[in-house]
Amino acid sequence: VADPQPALATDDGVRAVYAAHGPELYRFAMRSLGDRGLAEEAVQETFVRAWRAAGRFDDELGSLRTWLFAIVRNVVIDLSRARAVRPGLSAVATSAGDGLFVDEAFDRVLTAWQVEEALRMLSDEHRSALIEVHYRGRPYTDVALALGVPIGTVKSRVYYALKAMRLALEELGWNRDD
Amino acid sequence: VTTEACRDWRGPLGAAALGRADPAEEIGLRAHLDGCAACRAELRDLTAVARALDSVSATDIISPPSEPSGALAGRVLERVARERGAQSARRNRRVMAGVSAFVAAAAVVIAVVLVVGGGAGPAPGTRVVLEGVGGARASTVLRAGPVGTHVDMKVAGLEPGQYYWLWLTGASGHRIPAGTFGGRRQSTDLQLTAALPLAKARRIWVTDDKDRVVLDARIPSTE
Repeated sequence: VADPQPALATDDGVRAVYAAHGPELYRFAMRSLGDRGLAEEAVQETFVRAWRAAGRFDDELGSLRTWLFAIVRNVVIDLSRARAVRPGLSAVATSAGDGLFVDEAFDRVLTAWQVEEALRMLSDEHRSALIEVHYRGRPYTDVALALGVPIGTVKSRVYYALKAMRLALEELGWNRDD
Repeated sequence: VTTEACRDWRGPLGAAALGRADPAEEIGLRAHLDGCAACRAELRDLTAVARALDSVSATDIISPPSEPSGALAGRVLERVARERGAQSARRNRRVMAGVSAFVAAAAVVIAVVLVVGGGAGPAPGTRVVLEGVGGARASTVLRAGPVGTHVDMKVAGLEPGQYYWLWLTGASGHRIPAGTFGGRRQSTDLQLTAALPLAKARRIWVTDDKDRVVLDARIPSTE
C-alpha cells in the first residue's frame, strides 16, 4: 500500500490494509498475548489507532508494515498490563513494570514472530529441510533417506534455507544480536 | 571473493552454522575458512540466523499456525467505522457547542441592547450639567444602581495626555471616587460608578492630576 492515508480513509482501503497485514498482526499479537480473543482485540485496536493517526504516517520514514507493528506493539503492551494475561510478553511485562524489561521481552517475542513469518516465506523444500534438521534434530542422513535425495542435497537446501531466512528476516526488520 | 571452492563448502557451512557440522568435514572447512574472508563473513551471518531460529520452539514451529478467524476482517471494519462515526459526532458536537456559544453571546448582546436602548428607554435618571473651566464641559445622567451611582457622562475640552478623577460627594461631605479617565478635547462618552447611593449624592465634580477642580455641579436631591 503506497499511500495509507487515503487507503485507511475508506472501507475499501481498510479492507486492503487488513488483507495485506491483518493476519501477520494477529499472529504477532497471538504470540505475545497467548489468547485468541485478546489477539483479535489487539488487531482491531491497532486498526482503530492507525486510522486515528493516519495523518501522521510518513511513508518516507518507514513502511506501512513497520508503522503498524509499532502500533500493535503498544496495543499488546497496553492489553498485557490491563488484563495481566499470560504467557508470552505479558507475564514479564506485567510483573516487571519496568520499561527496559518490557522492551527485552518484546524483542524476544518480536524475533520469534519474525522467525515464524520468515519460515512462511521459504519454499517448501527449504522450509522442510530446515525444520527436519534443526527443529526436529534429525541427522542429515535420515532426512536424505526419508526424502530420497543425496545427503549433499539436504545440506545444500539447509544452506540456502538459512540464506533465504536471513533475507526474509531483514525484510521483516530483524535486528541481529551479534 | 567467492570461488569454486567456496561453492563446494556451502553445505558444510550451513551445517556448521547450525552446530551440526560433520566432524570429518569440519577440519577441511576450518582450513578453507582460514584463507577465505568471504566464507568467514557468511558463517557469521548464518550463525546469527541460526541463533534467531532458537527463539521459536520446535513445538511452535511444528504445530499448526494460528490464524485469525474469518470474521476478524469484518470486526476491524466495524470498529474503524464506529470510530469514524464517533469522531464525526464529536466534531459535530464541537461545532454545535460553538454555534450555541455564539447564539448565547448574541442573545446577551441583544438583551443588553434591549435593556439599555429598547422601547422602554433608559432607566429613570437625574440629568446634571457640569460647569467647566478652561473650555471643559460635561453633561451626565446619574442612575441609582445596586452598588452605588452609575454615571453616564459626555465630556469634552479636556487636556489630552492628562488624567482626571470623577468624584461624588455625599451629604456627610466625604468625596467618593467614581474612577479615572484620560483627557480628550473631543466629546467622549464614559460610564463610571461611585460607591455612593444616588439618594445621598450632593455633588459631582472632576479634578485633574493635581487635584484642581475642572468640572463641577450640584446634584438635585432625589429624596
